[in-house]
Amino acid sequence: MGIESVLETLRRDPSLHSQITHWQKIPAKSAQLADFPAWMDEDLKTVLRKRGIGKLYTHQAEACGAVWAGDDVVVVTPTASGKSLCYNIPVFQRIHHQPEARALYLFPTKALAQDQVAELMQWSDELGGTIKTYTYDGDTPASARRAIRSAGSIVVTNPDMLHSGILPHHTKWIRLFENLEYVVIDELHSYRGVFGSHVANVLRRLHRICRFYGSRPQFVCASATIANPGDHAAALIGRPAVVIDNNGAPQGEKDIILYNPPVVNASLGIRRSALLEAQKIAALFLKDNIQTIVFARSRTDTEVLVTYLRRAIHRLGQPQTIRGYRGGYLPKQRREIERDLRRGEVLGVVSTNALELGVDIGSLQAAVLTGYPGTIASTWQQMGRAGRSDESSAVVIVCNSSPLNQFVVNHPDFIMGQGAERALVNPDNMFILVSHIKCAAFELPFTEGELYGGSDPADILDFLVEEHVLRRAGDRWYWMSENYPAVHVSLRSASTDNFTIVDTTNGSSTIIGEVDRFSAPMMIHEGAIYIHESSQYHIDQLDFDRQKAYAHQVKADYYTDANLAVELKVLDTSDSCQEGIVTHSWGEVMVAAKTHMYKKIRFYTHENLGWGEVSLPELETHTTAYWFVKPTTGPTDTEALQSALMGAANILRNTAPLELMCEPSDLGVVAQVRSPFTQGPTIFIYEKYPGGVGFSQRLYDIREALLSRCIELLRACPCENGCPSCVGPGDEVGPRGKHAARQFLEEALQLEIQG
Amino acid sequence: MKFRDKLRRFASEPEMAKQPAEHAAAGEPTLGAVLREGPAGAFWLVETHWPLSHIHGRTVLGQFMQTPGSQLAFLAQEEGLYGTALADMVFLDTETTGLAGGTGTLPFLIGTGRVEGDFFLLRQYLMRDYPDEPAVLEALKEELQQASGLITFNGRRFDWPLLKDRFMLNRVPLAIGSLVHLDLLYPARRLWRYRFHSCSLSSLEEGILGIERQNDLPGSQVPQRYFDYLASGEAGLLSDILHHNVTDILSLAALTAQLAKRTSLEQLPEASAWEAEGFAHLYLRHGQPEEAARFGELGLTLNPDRRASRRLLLHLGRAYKRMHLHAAAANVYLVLAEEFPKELLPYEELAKYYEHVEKDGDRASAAAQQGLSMAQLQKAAAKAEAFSRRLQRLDRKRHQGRSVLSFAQDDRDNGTLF
Repeated sequence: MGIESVLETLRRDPSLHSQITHWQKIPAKSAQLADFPAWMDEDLKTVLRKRGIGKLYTHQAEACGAVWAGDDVVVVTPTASGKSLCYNIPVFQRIHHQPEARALYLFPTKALAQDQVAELMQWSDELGGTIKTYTYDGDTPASARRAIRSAGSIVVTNPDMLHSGILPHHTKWIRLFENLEYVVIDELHSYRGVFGSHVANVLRRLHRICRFYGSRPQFVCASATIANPGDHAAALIGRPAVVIDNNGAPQGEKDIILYNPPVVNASLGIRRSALLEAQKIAALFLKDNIQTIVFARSRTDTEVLVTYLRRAIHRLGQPQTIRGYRGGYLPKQRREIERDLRRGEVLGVVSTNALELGVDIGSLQAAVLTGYPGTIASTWQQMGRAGRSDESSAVVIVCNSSPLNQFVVNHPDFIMGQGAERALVNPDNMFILVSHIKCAAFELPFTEGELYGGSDPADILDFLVEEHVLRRAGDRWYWMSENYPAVHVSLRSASTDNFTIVDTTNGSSTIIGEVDRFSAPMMIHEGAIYIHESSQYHIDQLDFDRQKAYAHQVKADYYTDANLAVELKVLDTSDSCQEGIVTHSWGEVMVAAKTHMYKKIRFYTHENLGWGEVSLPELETHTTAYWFVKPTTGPTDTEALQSALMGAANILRNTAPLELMCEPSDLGVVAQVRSPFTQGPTIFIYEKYPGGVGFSQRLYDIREALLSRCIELLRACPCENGCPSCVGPGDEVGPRGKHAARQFLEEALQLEIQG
Repeated sequence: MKFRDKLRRFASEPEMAKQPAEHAAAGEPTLGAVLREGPAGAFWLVETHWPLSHIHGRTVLGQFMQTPGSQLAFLAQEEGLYGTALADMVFLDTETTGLAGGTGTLPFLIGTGRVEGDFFLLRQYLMRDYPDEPAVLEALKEELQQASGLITFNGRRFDWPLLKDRFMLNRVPLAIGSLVHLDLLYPARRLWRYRFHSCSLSSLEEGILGIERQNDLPGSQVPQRYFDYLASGEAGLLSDILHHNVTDILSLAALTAQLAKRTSLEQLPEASAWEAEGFAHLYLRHGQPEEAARFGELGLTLNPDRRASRRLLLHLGRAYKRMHLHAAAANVYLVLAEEFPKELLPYEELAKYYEHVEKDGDRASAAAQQGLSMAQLQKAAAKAEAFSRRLQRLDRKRHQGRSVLSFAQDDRDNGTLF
């Protein structure tokens, strides 16, 4: 009985077993323990002993030691390895002895912050209640804010609140900033891309304010596994950090299984829904009373799976033992589900990635992932939810038919073999940098010679003087505007003037979301299906001048994909190299995008259901791109070249995110049969965020791996003439598209051409 | 010499600026700007002396001095005023580069006013540019340290926290403990919230002080005007701001006098039923029903309009009830029911009165019935439900022939006899 019997079924049942592309056993590992540090107080040890902790894992002990020695630290270990002890022990020890000392904790979401505060409050109570711990976020009542500002020993907040609510009012937080000893940043890996680039700047501003008040806090970061924790931490906090990654937490044996749903239409490359397959596999575990977590890709999927699974195991007569968990549930309800999971009263939980982050739900025995979560780091986080120290566990990743998923399911090494991807940030992205220099100048005037993020911002400051935003007087630059700049800078998008989406369903007019200017023509053109919190909205009208879109809620079985006519001009080549006949480059480009039409695409199968016209003005974006040119050899069949380029561009666009920890929608591709700049057939991959956040340079650095990966995917794809899982459907790229694209890429890498 | 010209001259010829400002003779005051220099830097100081007999709108400027602070303490709900003479306090109003708050907002002009000898001395600390701030704050600190308190309009939420931030940012230690602070917005709201919806200084100037600003620079244009000055160096652009700020401070003094005037029952001017209403309400909230009743009764004699009548009667009914003058309260509720039939409270109170005091079940039911019909008409579900419960209970009581002395639970819970 138990997990072994389910694994046996997966091995024996031919219909299941034939779909398994990889099965790997990770052997058990025993705990590596260390004593509590000598400097730890007895009553702090008592707090831990009460929780059954008599010794630390080696990584915890090492991290505590490094923090206590004064280092900036980043701890990188898997889910449920007790990361929070690494910062809570030194922080409590310090404040316990030095009551005026302060710590600032940053979590990417409010829910995580609240979780952490509950735990911190318990510690504090047991230590005599003098260490006051508060969350400070948008939900904090005005009446409580004053007390938090002056008396909060540990203030738990999120980067957005630090950016718009705390730093611009630093004089009200004088007690915090004068006495700030520790800044704790958990879930460090989530601060990447545009968001991370913003957060890096918020932290630069934090350094400035601390300098003003004469403090120099230490940074203690914790991250899920990423390839570059030290570099990433350094890029965010602006100082080198000691990496602690010798995980000492114990681990039971774990089976990891990759599962590819069966093909139902070979020529179109359509597979059976991953949702249904995941449901089938999760039910196997649940029916054997194995506590299981199922990760779904959206909130709707979560609800659908809960319904299916309750139905499937209803015969057991315990329908309530399956719960859903996602954003949008009330905090109280979430706490209840977490508690019941820890107690084992909930048998199965279906969750969005909300449970991927550090919420404490104990360890479950099985995890089923519906689709590849998008990054290796997330995959390991989700897989880490299953796995107890003393029992064996299992993870099944059920892939869907997207190119990323198909690559992953056929290349187990991608997840199992290599480490996680690099988290990338570009804090010096010009748009982001200038936004935050404004915020910083609002907070404190800049003084001549002052460095910001390690470089002299004088040029930007002088520019802002010309823009009448700053005033230069004496040796300083002062904020000279009525505006409060932080409200105009959203950390979660790069461009500042956003379009709002107004829901007019049933005569209401509620703002449901925002889209940045550059995404607007793609995402909220008239006729688009805009998806927000898994609800679908049909865009009825886009008022481009007023930056508003009006929508009503619908239930459609398709989404829309706008076709951009993109013109791309190279402005500056940052680096370039010749490999064989191919020249690779990256640099600055100007992308002029105009949306002419959009396609309606059916969910999951990605069938094309029709199209519509869009008439909107052209938008210019100054950004960065990676590109390569492969001169034609011999006579050229333009049509074949066209379809080769288009197919190669499509697969590049879908494969590149594998390396970048980003969404496919963060990148755009342009294929030019004869580029005016390179004079040859060229494929550009550009970043959609103005200025770029470092993806282009990274693609340039890993060009060979990138192109090889595309070729591998093309070679392995079972479709005949292209499908949504590789170069796109054959009727888009032409009947020879798949073959031509492969040949083009193989030539580019000077590989032996197959077939 | 016109102010504008003077400012320009002083801006370009600093040695001239060191001359002391002319003291104003009686009558029309003159304005003057001097460059003040100190260890922390320099700034422009504009001092004007206003005779205490100057009439601002319809108020004599020095009138506020005649009131002891204690007289305003209750209305302002500011304990510190009990031991403070208004004449020793300083009026303060700032002009800033924005209203958003946060450390990027600069109070580039700080105006103060206080009594000095026979004059009302109005001082304006004006920053020629951002670097003047520390010098301004040092000078302001000196003035504040001599005063026994602050009088502002919305200074509790805006000017004072902003200034405290600026002192901190510029590292000018403010050795002032807890300052007595009379923020006129709050007492003004207590008296005139219903008369002037916004209770902004300009609506009070118009309605209470009899001041109509002419050619006044609207507050919303102040930041841009200052930025324009910074960009162009045209000091003349600032004269409108200085003028605006002068009017603000004079209005604070006049408003203080007008508020003080209304704190004594005997002095309440004609047709000030709203002020009486404000006091009745305030006294009720502070557990002084006798005082509340006095103001309620008085208010009804001061030609209240319909809205004021309604509120005065409601206060009066409540006050009588707390004083256990049940019959008098019932009379007030009868008048209310007659005059304002949509008001539900009178029916409820009358039903209780008839049931518990008069012990007249029929009339109690009749009142409850009226209340029920009105509540239903207004679709006030919770109220209708309460009336209908009351009716059922009255009905039951009559049929069971139980003693009418057995009080209903919900009435007993009110904490009063009925």
